Amino acid sequence: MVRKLNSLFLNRLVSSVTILALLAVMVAPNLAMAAGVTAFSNVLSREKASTAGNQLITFTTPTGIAASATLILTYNNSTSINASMTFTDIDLADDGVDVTLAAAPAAATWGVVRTSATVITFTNGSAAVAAASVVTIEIGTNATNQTTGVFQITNGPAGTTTLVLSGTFGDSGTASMSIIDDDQVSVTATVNQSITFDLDTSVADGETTTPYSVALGTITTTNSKVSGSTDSVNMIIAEGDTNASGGMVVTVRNANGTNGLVSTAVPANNINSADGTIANGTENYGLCVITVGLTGFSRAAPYNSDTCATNSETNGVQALTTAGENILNSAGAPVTAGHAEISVNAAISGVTAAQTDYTDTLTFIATGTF
Amino acid sequence: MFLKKFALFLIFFSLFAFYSARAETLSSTNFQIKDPVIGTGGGYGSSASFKLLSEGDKVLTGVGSSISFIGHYGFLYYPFVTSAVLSANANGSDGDLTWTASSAGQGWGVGGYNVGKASVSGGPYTYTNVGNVLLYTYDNMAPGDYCFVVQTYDALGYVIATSNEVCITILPTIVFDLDTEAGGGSGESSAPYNVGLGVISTTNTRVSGTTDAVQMIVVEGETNAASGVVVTVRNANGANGLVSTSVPADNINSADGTIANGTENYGLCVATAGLTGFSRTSPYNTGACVTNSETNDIQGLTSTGENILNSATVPMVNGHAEIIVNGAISGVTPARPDYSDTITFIATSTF
Repeated sequence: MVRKLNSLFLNRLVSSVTILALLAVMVAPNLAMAAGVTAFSNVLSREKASTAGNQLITFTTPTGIAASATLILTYNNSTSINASMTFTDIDLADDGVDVTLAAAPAAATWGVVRTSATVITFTNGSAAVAAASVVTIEIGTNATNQTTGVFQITNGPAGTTTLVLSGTFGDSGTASMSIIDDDQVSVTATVNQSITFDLDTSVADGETTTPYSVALGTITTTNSKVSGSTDSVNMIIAEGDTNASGGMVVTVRNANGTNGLVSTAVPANNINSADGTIANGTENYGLCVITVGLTGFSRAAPYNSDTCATNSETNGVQALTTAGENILNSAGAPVTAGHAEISVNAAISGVTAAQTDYTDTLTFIATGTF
Repeated sequence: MFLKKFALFLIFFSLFAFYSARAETLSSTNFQIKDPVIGTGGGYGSSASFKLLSEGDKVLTGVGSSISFIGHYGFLYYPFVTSAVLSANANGSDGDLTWTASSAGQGWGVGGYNVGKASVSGGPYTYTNVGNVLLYTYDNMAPGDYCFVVQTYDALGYVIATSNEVCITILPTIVFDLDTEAGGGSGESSAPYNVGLGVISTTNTRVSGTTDAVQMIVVEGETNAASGVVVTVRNANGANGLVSTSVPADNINSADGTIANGTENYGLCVATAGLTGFSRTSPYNTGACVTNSETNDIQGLTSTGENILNSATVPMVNGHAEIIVNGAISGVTPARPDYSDTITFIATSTF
């Protein structure tokens, strides 16, 4: 009888232990195990003392965040959370997926409250965050989910600031941020004004020295004279550079205006200068800008529409004036290695007075607009 | 039967009572020694040149000696030592320990100290022999709780005393600093931090260093974060680089490339010399970069930011890096006296 009772007791004991063990195995995975968060960082947009900025907080929660659990951010070092900060200034993402935030939790919506100048409290809704999830929190104008944030967190004085994670979710952690006297470097520089301009007179492109001269030689009604190797007449080469933001403008004026080439001995005798096309037998004298070889410079009105080529005796020329006209520019921008070749053209008619001393003086002026 | 047993009991009790120790209280009108166990007794001891007279039941200590006689009085001759009294403080990522000096005598002398560190109260401790000093600092400790003790050892290295235990908490720590010393040096300076490139011309690129007397940006940092620190840089104007304050349309662009006279560019590079603790990180981790060099390989700046330095994902102490600012212009870079940019550096540790 005693043996039977002992056997019955033993069987019951074994059964009870087995049931308890099975229950433990089934329930254990659902128990929260508080732990320290990992990969915990807080990237500030500004680290200067007493300066407002955005924050990007990231951590991995080993335990997860159960429904209705709280997650609390606590700063030290006189950090100041803007008094007007609400959930609209904050985003929270679970493994990269933004959750819906509101002032208070409801269903799957999280509640967010600025508890004090150094504390923000999150309260989960009904959707638990799984263990080992990566949680990211954006605070400030970088929070763009639902609405774009306005209010930020202001750093305390220079020194180490800590952000402590706590709350009923169970995990905890501390991350430090370095607040410094200034996180910015101002870089300054100066570029001085510069403009260079040079003239040369040569049959071909090249450098020459002053005085600059263009000798048209003997002009006849059947032989207009123009710059180029054919007539061995120099062209006028203009070169320029400027870092003026408004670029460079080159003007030209002459001594005799529309009288053009004037006889030194008999000033009443001249070869007129007028807008038009050079042609044998038609008196005219003037300039044009050769389109080939134009670099950096552009032809400026009224010199911007004529046909103009070296050695051509049918160039379209502009009349010269004593007041001056624009002939070149750099299109309103700085120019480097500007290069232009200006053709001098002259033709006479049968009534052009014979003289050996027709002359004119051309003046070129380059101006930068800084 | 009863009488026989009683007789045996009496005999046994009598023998026991006869051999028990007896102590008598000594007293005078103003003095009492209760239950003395050892007494010098009365009388004297003598040799040819020495004589000890004694009386009463005093307890004597110390040594008396002559040429041919030495007396060690009192109990057996024991050496003594006092334990150090330890204090410990957390100083950033350092644990600063100080302690009082142990004193020893009667055959012992203080040879020095071992400091012991443990992650839990009570140990086990890992000891470091620090010599005969009264302070010690554990540098750049990882965040966590630490407990310390100090052992005193004698001239032969035998531990003869152990101090009290003190426990402290080392918090996560990150320290970051910028400097822009005038003249292009690498020393300390105070905010606001400026780099004045001065007048840039097509034949004179301006770079950080003493040749152009242009400041370099000195970055210093420390952290006890297990994954180290990352420093990012961003600028206000992005690829527009240096922008004229008066005419914002005029600028000196910022692009990846090599600085050269006559070619407009502006940007940063990290000097390879003088790099301590920090490493150059992508995209700043390639290319030549030397102070005073006007042919450095630079990175174009961005307003969103890029990594520029890291500590190779380990904790770092005394990190130091020198960042070179480079500016060059072309012939068409607009003349302006007021080009400027603002560069922001952010240091972040992951704990």
